[in-house]
Amino acid sequence: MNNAPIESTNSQEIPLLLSLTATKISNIEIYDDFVGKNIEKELAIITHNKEALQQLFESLFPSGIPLSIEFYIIITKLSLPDNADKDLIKKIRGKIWASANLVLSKEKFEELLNLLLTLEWSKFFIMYSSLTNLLSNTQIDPRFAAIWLSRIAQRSPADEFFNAVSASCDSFPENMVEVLNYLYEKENSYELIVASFLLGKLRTILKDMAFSQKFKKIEDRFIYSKNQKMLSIYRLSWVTSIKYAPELWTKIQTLIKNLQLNVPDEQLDAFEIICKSLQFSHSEEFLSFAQSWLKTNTSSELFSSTKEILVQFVWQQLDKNNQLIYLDLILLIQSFDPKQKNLWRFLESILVHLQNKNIEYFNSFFFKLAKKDAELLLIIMQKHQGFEWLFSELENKKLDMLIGKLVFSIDTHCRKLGFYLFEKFKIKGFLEDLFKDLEEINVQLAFYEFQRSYLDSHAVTYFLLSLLPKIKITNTDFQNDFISEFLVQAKNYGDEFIKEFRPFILEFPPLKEVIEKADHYFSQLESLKNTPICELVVFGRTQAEHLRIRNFTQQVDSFRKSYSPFESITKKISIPYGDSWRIYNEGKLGESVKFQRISSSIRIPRLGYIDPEYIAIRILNASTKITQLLFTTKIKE
Amino acid sequence: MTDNLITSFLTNYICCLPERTRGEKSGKKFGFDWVIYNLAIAESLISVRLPFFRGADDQTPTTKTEPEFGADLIFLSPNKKKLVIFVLKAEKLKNSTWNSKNFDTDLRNAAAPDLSLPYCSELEEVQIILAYNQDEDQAGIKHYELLTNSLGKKIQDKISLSFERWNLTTITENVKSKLLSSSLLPQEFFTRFNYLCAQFTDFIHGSDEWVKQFIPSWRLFLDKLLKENPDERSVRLIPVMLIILREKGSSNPSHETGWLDLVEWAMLALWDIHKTTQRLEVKAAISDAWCHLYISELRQFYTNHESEFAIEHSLETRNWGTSLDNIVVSVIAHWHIARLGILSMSLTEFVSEETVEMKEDKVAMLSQVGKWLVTLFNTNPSAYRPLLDIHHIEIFLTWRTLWQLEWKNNIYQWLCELKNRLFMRRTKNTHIPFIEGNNSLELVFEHVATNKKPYEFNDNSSLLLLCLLELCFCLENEKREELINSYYKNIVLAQVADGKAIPNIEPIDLICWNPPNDWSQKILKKSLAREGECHCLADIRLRPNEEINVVTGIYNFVSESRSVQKFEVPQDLPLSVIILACLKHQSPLPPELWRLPIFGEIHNYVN
Repeated sequence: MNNAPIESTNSQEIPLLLSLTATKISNIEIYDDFVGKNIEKELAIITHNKEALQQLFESLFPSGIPLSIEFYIIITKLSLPDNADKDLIKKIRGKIWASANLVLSKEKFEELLNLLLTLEWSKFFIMYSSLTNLLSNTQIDPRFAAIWLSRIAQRSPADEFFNAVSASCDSFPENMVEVLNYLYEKENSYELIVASFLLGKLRTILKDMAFSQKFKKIEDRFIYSKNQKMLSIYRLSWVTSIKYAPELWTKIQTLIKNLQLNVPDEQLDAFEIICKSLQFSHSEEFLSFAQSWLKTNTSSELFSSTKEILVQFVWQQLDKNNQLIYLDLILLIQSFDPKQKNLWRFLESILVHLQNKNIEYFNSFFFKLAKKDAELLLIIMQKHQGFEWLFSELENKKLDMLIGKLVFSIDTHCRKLGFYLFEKFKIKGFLEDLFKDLEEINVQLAFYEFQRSYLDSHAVTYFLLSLLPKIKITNTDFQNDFISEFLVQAKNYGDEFIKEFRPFILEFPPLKEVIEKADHYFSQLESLKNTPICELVVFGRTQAEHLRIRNFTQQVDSFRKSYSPFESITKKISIPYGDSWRIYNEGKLGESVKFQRISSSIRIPRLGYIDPEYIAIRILNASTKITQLLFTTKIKE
Repeated sequence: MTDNLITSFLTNYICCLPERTRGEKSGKKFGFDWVIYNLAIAESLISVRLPFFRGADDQTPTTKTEPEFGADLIFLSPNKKKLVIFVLKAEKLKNSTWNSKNFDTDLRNAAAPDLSLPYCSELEEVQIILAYNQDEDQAGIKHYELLTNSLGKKIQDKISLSFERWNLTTITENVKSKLLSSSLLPQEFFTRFNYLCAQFTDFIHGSDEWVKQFIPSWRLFLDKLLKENPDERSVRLIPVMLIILREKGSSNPSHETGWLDLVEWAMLALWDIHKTTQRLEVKAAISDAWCHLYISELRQFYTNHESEFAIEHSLETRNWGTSLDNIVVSVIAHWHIARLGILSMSLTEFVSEETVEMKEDKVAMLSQVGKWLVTLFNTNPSAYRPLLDIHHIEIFLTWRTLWQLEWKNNIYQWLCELKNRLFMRRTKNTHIPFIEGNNSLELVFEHVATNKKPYEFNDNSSLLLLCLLELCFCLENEKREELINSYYKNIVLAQVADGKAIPNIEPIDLICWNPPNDWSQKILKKSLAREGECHCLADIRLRPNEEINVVTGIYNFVSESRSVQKFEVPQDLPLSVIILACLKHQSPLPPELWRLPIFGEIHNYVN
């Protein structure tokens, strides 16, 4: 037994427990082992004995219960041995926390509760996990509770919070009806969340007639409110109701039937009710009803906010239950608004999940997504820097078949997306299997799409290489186009490009002549080193170059600022002198750091930069060819 | 530049110099005494007696009035053992001048120098040089030989005596080998010209320094030279200066094109004198400089570099690797287009075609220039990239070069390709902006550098486009209709194939410029872009809601515009010179230059 009092709150951990105070408490058995029911029993005894409780608080807080975060700091330091039940410490903290209500005045206790919201995250979550014990043991003033609970929900609306509120409803239903009363007609969304939960939970509590009438009265206020939000809270409260009373699901059926799905709010409520209910209701009947309802009512015509709810639902089903059956809902609701960041984040999470579980399934699902709306996917990837996480996860994954199917697709946007991914994942070619099902039109379409795409040298090289086996069996006109394109790219990227094709000269003889032409082109340019025909410079160029560099720097700077969250929080110091720097911090100069020049280079296609008009015309011609191909050929996909 | 050409220009200059440098009421006369003096200095001889008082840097030497007793200039060798006496004559050496122009007397006097003078104490040899900047005949030479033989080989039996005769050829050769420098110029120009030589060596053609410092200095220098002395000597001096500049600036990598730029400014200055002078020898000297210095050198330049122009993307080899290169290379390409055009026009105007052979030679020369031009277009896409509205001059010159060769197919292909490429810029499919109507290259640079259209950038009106549309009238009916319609719809109205207007792109207003009445009096001196009258063709329809017949619409506009102001091509100036002036001053071309050959005399054109 350790009789030493708690001396200071500064010590790292305060060993529990009440045994510390045991010497001062009569009729309490003393245990050497703190683990087990005895502790709970001990706790129960203490918290029901005013004198014992007083002594407990005196031990923990020799100078009295502090009305500061010190209270929580000490409570959070209470610990049990590692082998103790994890929930036990939560209970102990919660009990002590609740017991403060017995020794403090109402105002002081509420002040103490408010301090919870000022805690830093780690301590907040320790106390948050004891919230159930607090709320199931303490009746808080309804007016105060309405605000305080909403503020906690705002900080963290997790399951633990709702479990605590639920416990409070079970312990003090009348009090919570009062809380609900205070939350009526509030505007803050977290207040509304709490209100909806309370309405749903209190509905499931079977008590006396007086309570039922009291509840009905407040429920009617929501049902007959002219405020759409209140009505929506009422509807969504049924999600909570069937969580605690699954047998009530038929009420949902009726409720949904009465909602008009062409009205945005009602549509959103209907889908939210179904989706949220599906997360915890396991009744076969409800499952069957809900799944069938979703299938019938889901379409691309849904409002954006509804779509977001649905994608979130699919993600949750996949993440928590590994449910793949809802994936098709996403295909049904395409397309999406590119500005709905949350929706795209959920979709990205879905894709990451799929590729982790089964790359074949991912490829199949992604292809379906692309077929529905490849254009939008590309916009999200290119303009909104979306899917960065997915891309990092997809590194070294087997994607050539998926990308090949996209590249050789009849659909223009699929092809564009295919080339984007072809470049992104540095694909080096396609499996023979891919070409088996392809017709010449697919090859031609992909080729002309390639002509109007801006790809890096790697993608250009390997795409043309991958086409070589197919080109031999295409028509002469197309072969000529290929040869001409080959010469363009040989001039664009020079020997780096050409060397990859040299081994194929025998296989495809026309290459020889083109490679010779390209070699001749570069050797002739080499001979112009000292020619005076272009030695003259142009007045104003130097000034324009300064302007260009300044403009470029500004663009890079603003892009960096918008892209990097660190930009706004880190300090930037301009150092105009010297070639090294050190910083004075906490009375000392740090290590000297040499300036480093950062540079990067990129291979620009030579013709694109020398002759931009020709490249634009080439793109236009490629587009014309594509239009003609699609128009004149019967397409079978 | 060939050796013969250099000799020829030096000969012409030296030949027209008087014996003495002196100031006259009509202006300063540069004498060849100054040339001889500098030749002797170049030989490290020490002057003992000069016919003039040397002045400070930029001052003309003052003529001495004392009798020279035959010895115009006397020099001593550095070891003081040889005395060199020059007897100068700005006369032909022949029987009639031997006595009348004092060849005999002066040589005799020179052969009897006063050897009692202090500088003669160590003397061992006396050399008498008769220098005359003209030709001679056999009689004159006989007189000279008889006299020099009779004067013996010794003076006072101890000092050897020798004679030399420098005629025009000898003097020219000596100058060419020893005096091709600023020292050849009259003293007053020495310092400034020396500075110009240094600038030409250091500044790259077209650079900011070139445009802002060197060219203004050069033009000021020419102005001063020709204003003060608008005579044959000054005119003949200019090619000599250009030859010296070329020699001095050969280490500058851009000296070949840079030198042509200097020649062009000099030519404009000379043709301005041509317009006002009544003296035939001055007019002849100017024509000579134009043909044998400028045009000949221009032709030589393109002959020398023919194979380089034939290489694909040959103008792209000095790129910096930024988007601004497209602009720079386009400016360079248009520089070459303009020169080839001027060359072609000039050959048409100046090369004689009196005989069948001459005519064939002329056609061959014109074809060669035409091929160079076509090659330039075939190998360098930047040639199809007019940036400024003033590039209508190059458009006109291209057309004119091909048209006079009757290469209509080439004209058609060139116009088609130009249209396709302009369409890409008009529809903003490239980063290169459309043609800038205010002719500010600075704005074009800014547009490309910032990727944002500057406020002052004008792509709403264009003379160049109207010029192109009018040039299409030289084609056969079918091609004419096709091209004019596609130019008008695609470029002017910015419509795509199905007639739909491209969003956010406004139609361009076509404009034509009628020059002021005194245009020909001013064009050699300055830009006339802010003078004259503009005719705007805002809407081609004759009446609202009327179906557009573009060909008729443009034809009617041209007829109306021509009837308002009759413009006559000046007869006293070659067309090639006029175009060069427009190029150099960035002054728009009078549309009549292409309208007359295409539409004929006013109202006579039959569609």
